[in-house]
Amino acid sequence: MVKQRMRRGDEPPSPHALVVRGLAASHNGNSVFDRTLLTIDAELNQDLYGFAGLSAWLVTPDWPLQRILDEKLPRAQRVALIPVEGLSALGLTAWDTGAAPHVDLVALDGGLETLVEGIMAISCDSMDNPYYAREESS
Amino acid sequence: MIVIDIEADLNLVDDQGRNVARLPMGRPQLEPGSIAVAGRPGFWSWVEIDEIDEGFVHFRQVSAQQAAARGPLEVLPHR
Repeated sequence: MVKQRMRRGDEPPSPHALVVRGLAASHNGNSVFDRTLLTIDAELNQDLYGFAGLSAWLVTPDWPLQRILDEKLPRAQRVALIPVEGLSALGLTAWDTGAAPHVDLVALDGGLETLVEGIMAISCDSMDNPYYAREESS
Repeated sequence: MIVIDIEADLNLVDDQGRNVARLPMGRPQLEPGSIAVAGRPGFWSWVEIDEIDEGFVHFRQVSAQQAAARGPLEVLPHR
């Protein structure tokens, strides 16, 4: 059964804001994102909550980048920095889902393919996470 | 090299702040309270299973120290 996803009712993010997404290691050449993984993740969100979405973290005054990297993404070796203003040009937006600063990147037309192709096409940077906390298996 | 028990996007959290993923097939050892490894290469964590619900598994990230406090850190055997 599809679950209800909480929306916080925040103001829309500033076009000058960034959203951050932790990245898995990928063998996808020079691309920041892996299309297969994005599709898997958007499908999971669709099955869980009834809409195609990709989880990310919105940088705000309460949640500056360093805090997100340290508290929300300490297990991510690399992260992508996605400009909010780049989303709308590709038919995407960020929904204020769950607890701040979590957001879901979604396509305005609701399409999973629009979402994945938009994220693959977006101009963004990636960086090593200076707060990455390496842990061994045993 | 780490062996991942639960393939997961650790960006995804539910409304209770827990990570969530599809429940892997054939892993009866995964039950509430058990320790596992979730994520993907380059983005994984020790986790404690919180809830299994309709084919999904909800879990919270824990440190290796917290995981070790629950018992030996052994990779769950695949069946």
